[in-house]
Amino acid sequence: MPAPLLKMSGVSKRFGATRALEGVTFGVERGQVHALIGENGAGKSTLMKILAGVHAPDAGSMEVDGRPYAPTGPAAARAAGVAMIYQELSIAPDLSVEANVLLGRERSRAGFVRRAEQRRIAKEALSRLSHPDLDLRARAGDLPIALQQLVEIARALASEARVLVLDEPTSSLTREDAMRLFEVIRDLRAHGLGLVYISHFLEEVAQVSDVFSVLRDGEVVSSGVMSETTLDAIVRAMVGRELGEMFPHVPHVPGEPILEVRGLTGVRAPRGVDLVVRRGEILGLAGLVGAGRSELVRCIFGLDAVRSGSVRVVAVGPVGQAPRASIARGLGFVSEDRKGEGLALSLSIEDNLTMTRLEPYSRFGWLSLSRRRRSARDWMERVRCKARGPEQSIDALSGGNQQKIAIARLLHQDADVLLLDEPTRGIDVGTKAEIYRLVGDLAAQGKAIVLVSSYLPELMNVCDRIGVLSRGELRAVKPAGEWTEEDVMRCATASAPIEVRT
Amino acid sequence: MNVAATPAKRGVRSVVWSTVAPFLGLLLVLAIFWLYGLIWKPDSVFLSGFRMALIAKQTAIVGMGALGMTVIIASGGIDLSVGSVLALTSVTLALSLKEGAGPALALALTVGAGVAAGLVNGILVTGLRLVPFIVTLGTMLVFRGLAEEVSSQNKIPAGAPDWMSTLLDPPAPGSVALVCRGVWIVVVLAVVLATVLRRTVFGTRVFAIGSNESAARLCGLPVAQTKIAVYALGGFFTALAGLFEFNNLNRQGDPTTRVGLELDVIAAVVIGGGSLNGGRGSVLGSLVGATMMTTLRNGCAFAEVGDPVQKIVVGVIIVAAVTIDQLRQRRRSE
Amino acid sequence: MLMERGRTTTDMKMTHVFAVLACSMVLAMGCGNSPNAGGKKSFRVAVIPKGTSHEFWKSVEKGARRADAELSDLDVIWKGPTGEGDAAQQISLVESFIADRVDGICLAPLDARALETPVKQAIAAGIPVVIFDSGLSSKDVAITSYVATDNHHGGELAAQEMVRLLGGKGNVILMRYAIGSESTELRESGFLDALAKSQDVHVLSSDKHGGPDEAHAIEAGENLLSTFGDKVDGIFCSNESSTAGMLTVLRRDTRKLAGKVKVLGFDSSAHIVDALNEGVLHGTVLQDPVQIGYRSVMAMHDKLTGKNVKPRIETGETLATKENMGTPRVHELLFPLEGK
Repeated sequence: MPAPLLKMSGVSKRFGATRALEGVTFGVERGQVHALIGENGAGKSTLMKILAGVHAPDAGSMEVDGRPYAPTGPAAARAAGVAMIYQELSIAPDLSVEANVLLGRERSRAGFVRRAEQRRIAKEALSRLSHPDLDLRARAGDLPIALQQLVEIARALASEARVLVLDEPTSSLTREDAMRLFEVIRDLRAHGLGLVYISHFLEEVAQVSDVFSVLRDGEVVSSGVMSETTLDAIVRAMVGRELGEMFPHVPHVPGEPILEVRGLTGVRAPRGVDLVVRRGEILGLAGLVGAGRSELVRCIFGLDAVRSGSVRVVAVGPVGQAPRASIARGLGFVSEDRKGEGLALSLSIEDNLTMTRLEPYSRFGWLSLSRRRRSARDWMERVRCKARGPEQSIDALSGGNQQKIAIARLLHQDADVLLLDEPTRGIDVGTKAEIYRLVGDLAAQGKAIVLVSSYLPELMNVCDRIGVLSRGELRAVKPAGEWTEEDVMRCATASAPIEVRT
Repeated sequence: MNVAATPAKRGVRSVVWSTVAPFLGLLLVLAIFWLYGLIWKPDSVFLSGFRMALIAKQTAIVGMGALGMTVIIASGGIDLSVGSVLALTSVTLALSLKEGAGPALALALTVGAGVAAGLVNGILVTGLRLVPFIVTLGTMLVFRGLAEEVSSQNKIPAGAPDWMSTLLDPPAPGSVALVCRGVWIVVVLAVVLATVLRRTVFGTRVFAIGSNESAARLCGLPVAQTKIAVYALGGFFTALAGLFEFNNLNRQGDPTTRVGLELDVIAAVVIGGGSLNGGRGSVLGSLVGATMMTTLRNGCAFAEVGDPVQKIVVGVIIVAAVTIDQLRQRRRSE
Repeated sequence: MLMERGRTTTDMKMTHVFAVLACSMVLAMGCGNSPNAGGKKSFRVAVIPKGTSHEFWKSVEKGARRADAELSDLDVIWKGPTGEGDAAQQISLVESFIADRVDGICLAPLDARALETPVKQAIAAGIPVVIFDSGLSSKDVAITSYVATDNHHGGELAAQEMVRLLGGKGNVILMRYAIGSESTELRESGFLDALAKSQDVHVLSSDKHGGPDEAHAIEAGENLLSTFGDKVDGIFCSNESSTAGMLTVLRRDTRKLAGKVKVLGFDSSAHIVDALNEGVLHGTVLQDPVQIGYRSVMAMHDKLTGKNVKPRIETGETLATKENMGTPRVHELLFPLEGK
């Protein structure tokens, strides 16, 4: 029996104090699709980054085709036949389709690109993906997302990849495009490639893969043949606890309306959204990526341009189009892009925590650092942030603790309406539960919370009401108890294909 | 003096280390030339008070420019126009003195010209949403042209009272001042600036914007106003450097002086731990960086090293210093 | 979204900026080469100095303008790089004058080698070229004439005076001007060659350059004196900015070196004249820049009107000292911009 195509054994990795992976064993055979399942923060992306040579494992070994495999970087991984297709596509939008397919593997003689050979290779790769007619000279950035993704897969084929890793490949595709992608996957499998399929969408996983492994807190907790298990069993393995523990229930009672949104329309999304949020209420916003959930909360907060419509904080007044004014009106916003937009990573915890409101510590522009530090320490305790102290650099903290500081910032600025965009993305399960409890506590104190999430169980169990967006429109808002997960998905994917752009 | 990391519970050793570390490069350079002197030139002294005072004096102009540049770089910006603004302000000073303005008025006009130039930079950067590199690349030519235009491309000699024209003259032998008054002005302003960066709302905002401008905007910080103020502050320090240059050139304003000063100033800030990505910058470090470069140049003359070799040495030291600083940062964050 | 909106408005603003820039560039070019308003045909001669801010070049300009005033059928276009040291800028100046089809070019090359190519291009395009102040490195470029001081001789004059001042014995520093400048390099080699004849005069340092402006010269001078201040007896600087910078350093020196160390310079300026008066500077070698400008344009006029032109025109060099600075001839050379 030949060696498996890819074999990872006993792989471990730590980042500072955080354990990302612990003794993970994983592999793919030729002509097999292996699903890698797990919540955000379970260690999937770390495992894939090790496979791609971005990180080196602390312990463990890897083999490709029975030969030791220790990639020193993405180029080495590609040379060994391992190709990655990330959720965020790595297309060079200004280059042609052909140049993108051959990117990094340009055929040349004496420094000159051999156009004819390049064209042949690109054409062949696209034919294998049943798109022989794609215009090789088209600008890649002008293609729809689904085709851009195909160009990336073609790039993998052109580099003679044998192991293909697809990370959340359907997250920004329409249903039809996703179905077409599954055809391609089956086709590649038939040609003897080994595929690793990473996704949150369990139904899709069940549909497309042969075997599965579930990661939780950096360990493989369950694996087996897809046809011999149930989705329920997989979910139990993923969560690893009863739902009750995962979602602590904090009693809270919605009160009078505090935020009124009327006909809010942005540049692309939202489109004519009406919404009322009450004190002591947790309102969830569901929808596919690109449905306009983030844009809605960003428009409410004044970060994105508003074309028409109004946002009012009851008893305070209309909100202008600037974060500065929104903060003064009692709105607070936690960005989904924690590193890029949410936090200033090179600064300390206290700097980040107090950035929105320095007035309590300043007189004539001079800061009292000691008072600020005392206050920061106090807030860190209240959100149970684990860190050495307020002066510690925030990039040394785990994602979960960083997120706690981002939320603590809103509390510190004394916001009445908290707009949380994917606050639990990339956070370990334990911290998630703490954040849910914190959100519940805040609602019990009379704060209004708008929670954007792609993780349905979270919405179903934490929120009082759930609104579903599709193509920028708010399709329905109902109490959480009146939704089922299927209803939400149906509502989110209803009607014509979604114009996707993230 | 990095605002980001205030040593609280890091133990005495690391506190000492972080205070001494910025000086290590400078101490090393001094030690090398000292040793060279011991071995090859036993009849002359490298570490003489005279030479140290001279090095301090030579650092005054670049150091003054580096104060402003530290703030600009910490806020995530850059200013390529310092050399030109220095020429413009030195010409402004000489011209206004020559045209009969009193010294106080002339000084006010000089500082006004520097701040105005900074405001132009800041408003263009925030208003046009262009990268500061491009904006100040353009204004570098604009301000140089202005300096040449108002001076009709002449050096302008002017009379000035002693208090504003002997700032870079060495103190009388045996005086307690040790170095020229200009150096003391730089030191005092550096202390004030470091305090402002560390202890004021403005300083906190500068580092927040430099560290992550989107986050600062999201947190409701007045990003545009702060950036404009930062460039204006840079112009203020450059104007004072222009005053020094007027002193240095023996009461003259020279429209063609110090082409390329911006590179020395940026190098000083970067050697001192400033990050061109913004969010990091240290007043103390920048001054040490500036001192290191003048020490190298003086030391090369002492060691009778020719100009070409001297350039190579300075270039290598810049890259080495920044590399060491980054290693230090990386180790600290891990 | 916001970003996209921002981008489009920025694009629009950029378009405006470019439009304004383009307009002003066209205007500027128009000003530079405005054709003769009068109907009379006259020769357009470009005179390109090494710089425009030094007094030396202003004196050359004065001479060139005097020739212009005397000649009814010739117009001088005076244009040089701002600040010395930018050979690339000077090359493009020559090129644009070739494109502009001027009738003749008078050029003081910033770099003896780099300017050869554009000069050859000009000659190939039928435009005669007079080189002034400092030469090209190759002798087979078919220039019309070379109008200059004998710089090597100027350096020799300085060396002879230095030896006399030191009584034939002492330590000397040569602070050079800049790499690639032929005229100053000739002065420097003339100085060193003549000095070599006196066995008891030693050169402490001859490899430091004052650099492009006075601020750089000051730092170079300070570094030299901090190393050799206790040993040096004489200093020679080979151009105006280096001399002025060195004088500033000496005046400021706390060891009272000013006046004690014998200093010789080259060229003249207000600062240099003051220093001569005060005895900080002991002599300066003077060229006749007004003559250089005047005779360059005159030589070009001779060429354009078909007369014979001497291939080498020397304009003389004079050593000015405190003693002789009162004589009318030396006074005129010290203050070339004064009076007529």
